[in-house]
Amino acid sequence: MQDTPERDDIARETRVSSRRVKRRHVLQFGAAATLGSILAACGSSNNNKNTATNNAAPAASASSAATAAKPAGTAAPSAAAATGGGGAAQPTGQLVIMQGADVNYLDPDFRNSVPEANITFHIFDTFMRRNAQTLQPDPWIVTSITQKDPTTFELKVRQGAKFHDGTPVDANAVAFSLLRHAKTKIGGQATKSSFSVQVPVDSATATDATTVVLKTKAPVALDFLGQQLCQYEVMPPSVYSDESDANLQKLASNPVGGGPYKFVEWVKDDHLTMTAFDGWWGKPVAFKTLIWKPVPSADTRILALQKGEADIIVNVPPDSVEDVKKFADVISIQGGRDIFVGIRCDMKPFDDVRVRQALNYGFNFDAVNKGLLNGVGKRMATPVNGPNTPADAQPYPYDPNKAKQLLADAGLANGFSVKMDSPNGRYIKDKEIAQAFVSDMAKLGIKIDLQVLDFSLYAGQMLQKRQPDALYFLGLGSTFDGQDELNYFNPDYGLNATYWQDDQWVAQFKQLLQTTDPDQRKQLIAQLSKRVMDQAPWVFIWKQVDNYGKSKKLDWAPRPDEAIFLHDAKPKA
Amino acid sequence: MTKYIIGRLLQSVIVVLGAMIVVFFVLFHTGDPTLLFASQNMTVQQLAELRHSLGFDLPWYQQMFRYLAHSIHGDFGVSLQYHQSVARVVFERLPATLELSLLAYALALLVAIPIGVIAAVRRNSFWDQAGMGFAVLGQSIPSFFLGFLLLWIFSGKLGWFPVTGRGSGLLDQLHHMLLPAIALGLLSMARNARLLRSNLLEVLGQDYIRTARAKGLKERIIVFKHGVRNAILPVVTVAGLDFGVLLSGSVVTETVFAYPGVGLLLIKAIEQKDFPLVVGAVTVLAVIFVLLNLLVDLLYGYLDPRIHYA
Repeated sequence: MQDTPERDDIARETRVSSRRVKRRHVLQFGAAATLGSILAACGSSNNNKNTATNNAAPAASASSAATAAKPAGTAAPSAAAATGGGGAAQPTGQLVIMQGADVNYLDPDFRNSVPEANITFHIFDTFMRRNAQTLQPDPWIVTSITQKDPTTFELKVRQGAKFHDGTPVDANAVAFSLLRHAKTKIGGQATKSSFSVQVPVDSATATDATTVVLKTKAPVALDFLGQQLCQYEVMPPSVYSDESDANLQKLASNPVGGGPYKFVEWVKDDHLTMTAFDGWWGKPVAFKTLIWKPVPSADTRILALQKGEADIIVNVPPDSVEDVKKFADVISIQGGRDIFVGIRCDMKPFDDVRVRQALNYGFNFDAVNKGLLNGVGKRMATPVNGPNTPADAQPYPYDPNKAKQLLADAGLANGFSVKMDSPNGRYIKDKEIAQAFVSDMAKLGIKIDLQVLDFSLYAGQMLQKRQPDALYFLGLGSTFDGQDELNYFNPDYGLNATYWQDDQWVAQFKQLLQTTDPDQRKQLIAQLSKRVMDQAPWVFIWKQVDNYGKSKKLDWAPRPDEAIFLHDAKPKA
Repeated sequence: MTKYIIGRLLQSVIVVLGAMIVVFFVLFHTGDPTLLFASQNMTVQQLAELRHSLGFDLPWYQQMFRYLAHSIHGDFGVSLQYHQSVARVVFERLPATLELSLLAYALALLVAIPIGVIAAVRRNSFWDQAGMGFAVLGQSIPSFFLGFLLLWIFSGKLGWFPVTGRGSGLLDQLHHMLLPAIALGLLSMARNARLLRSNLLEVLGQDYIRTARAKGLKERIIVFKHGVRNAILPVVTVAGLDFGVLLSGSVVTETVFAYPGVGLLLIKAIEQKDFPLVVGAVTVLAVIFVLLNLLVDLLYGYLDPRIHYA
């Protein structure tokens, strides 16, 4: 039978409708698969957490479950929480702290940022603890240090402290930790610890349960060592002596320490939770749980504080301070971070000290302070931080006439042109301060071509190659020991791109490194600081003032060294 | 068809490889990651030695070929920040970004389709003007600005949504995802609404639509069964591109909302010059993008019988 047109139509219709059915099936399948993927992926989020595996399991898992059930940190610290003190109530409630960045690594010898240190300083105890008021080292795990000779120290270790795995914090653990921090490589990986650079450890030996003898390869000042010991953690040999890749990988995200808080879980870029360690030697903490959240955007952190999703936030921008004060407390505190414009002393005309001094006299910091910094800053009088600040340190005053005179004396009455580099958003108002500086220099006839870069580019192109333009904006923090801050001017220092060469100063600095007598050190530090100020390889801007936002219901104070310690935080009465 | 698929897959390999090379080259010339490993107090000599020991002083092409040789075997190396395999770090974050992008796209379609249809059917009316005004606005507002605006209004002022994070559990995660998904998907919403409107207007002007009306079919059936089904095909065509835009847009959105996905990971990795992680993350996103586009092209051929792939 021949196919008729009608039969052809029917056949075509059948094929089309069959294909249409298949298309419908495809669309239905696609929708179901998409929905199924979303549901499956939502359920999979809990599989990606690093959770504590070697703490007391019941406490850890209960905390973890409690954390999981309460995704946003509760705002107000619990009013019923204990305020600490011997025999006080159990810790309750939680604190949520928002920093600008997440940790990368929870092993103390592979971390090199403040947000990381803030977290490890709760999971681990440091050897000593810097007093927030005096900035001097207080007894902590190491209760005293005695210098026997320029290269030998006796450290006394606190009795009765335990690590989270139950092993004792004893001289053996302290010696082990000192030697670990002194290593430049662990398990084949380069460490990030500065300890090996700062303290040339020769040996560390436990002579009894509470005494460690530390020997160094070169003289080290007692106060310098004490300051360094405030920066490093005591670690359990039972866990950290195994330097295999597998163990290091595990510990990178499951740390075990002896601090007031035990690690519970870390969901990268989301939160890190820790719970109070009931075996800690110190005064009982008030808050049971600390939740650390990385929130890169300052505006988002502020909103979280306002909404009660955070109790403490860092780096409130100066121009937001008044707004934040309407719903929270803002505490401004001068830190130890020197903010400056580095000057390429190897480039003309900056090889002439008069020109460098002119830049300092020509910079109007008061206007910057009022307009950009909310009036909380002070012009830098010395790069050296307290407690080593020379008593007679004076900042450069704003004196454009003197600046012009100096330029004229240097044969530059008509000014000159130069390039400058600045990061953007790395330090408080860095770009804006740089722009203000450019504007001030224009009044002296100095035309500055300002290049603003994201810090990742800035660090790569400027710092790494040590070839920035003639002027470059930077900030450097220190350990408050006086020596560190002066090391910034040492020609050997890796981030010193000023190329300032002063043989007299270098000789005196080397003398400082070998001097252990406190009075002589103080004198040398004062002399070195004065010389640096006079010779002006930097335009000295300010010591950065950090603004912390905190809940009005929280009793806690920030510190000059940018460390956030919460073991003594408590709800306001 | 099989030949077509194989050909496209081979092309995809070249595309992904190209993306890896470009990213590596650009990243290399922003500086090496030695400072990531260094302590602040290192001397010039120590920094140079560290750079040498890590191999970062080799010429860029040597470093790149070494990296590509490993990645061809599936080894994307170890993240310089996390000291974990790149694959592990990226795939830990990938579900979050995919969820966010899928939700953003679903919302985009849910909003775009009614707006586009109403605007076309009620052409030149208030609804048309409002719909297209929304579309223009949606294409003009930067996602980071919209993100902050949504946070300020719906999280800050009204307190309806959390400010940051991903949450846990299905409903809580959806609650956390909704605002970033809106911020991310608005551009796609706006574009698809305009595309659908203009296509639907064209389709509704066709002879067969006139015939259907003449035959007395209900307008609703004409619009949805005949009109929208044909007008939506171009929207499907750009779905792959749209999703690629969503994946790349997640970088900004995740930063604003502190949402722990691949976008936030990528930003951090670039800042830290974590070469392996940047290249690994970009490679994964590129693979998703090319595979998705292939899928969309195949789907398009299936939906439209006029399309044949040789």
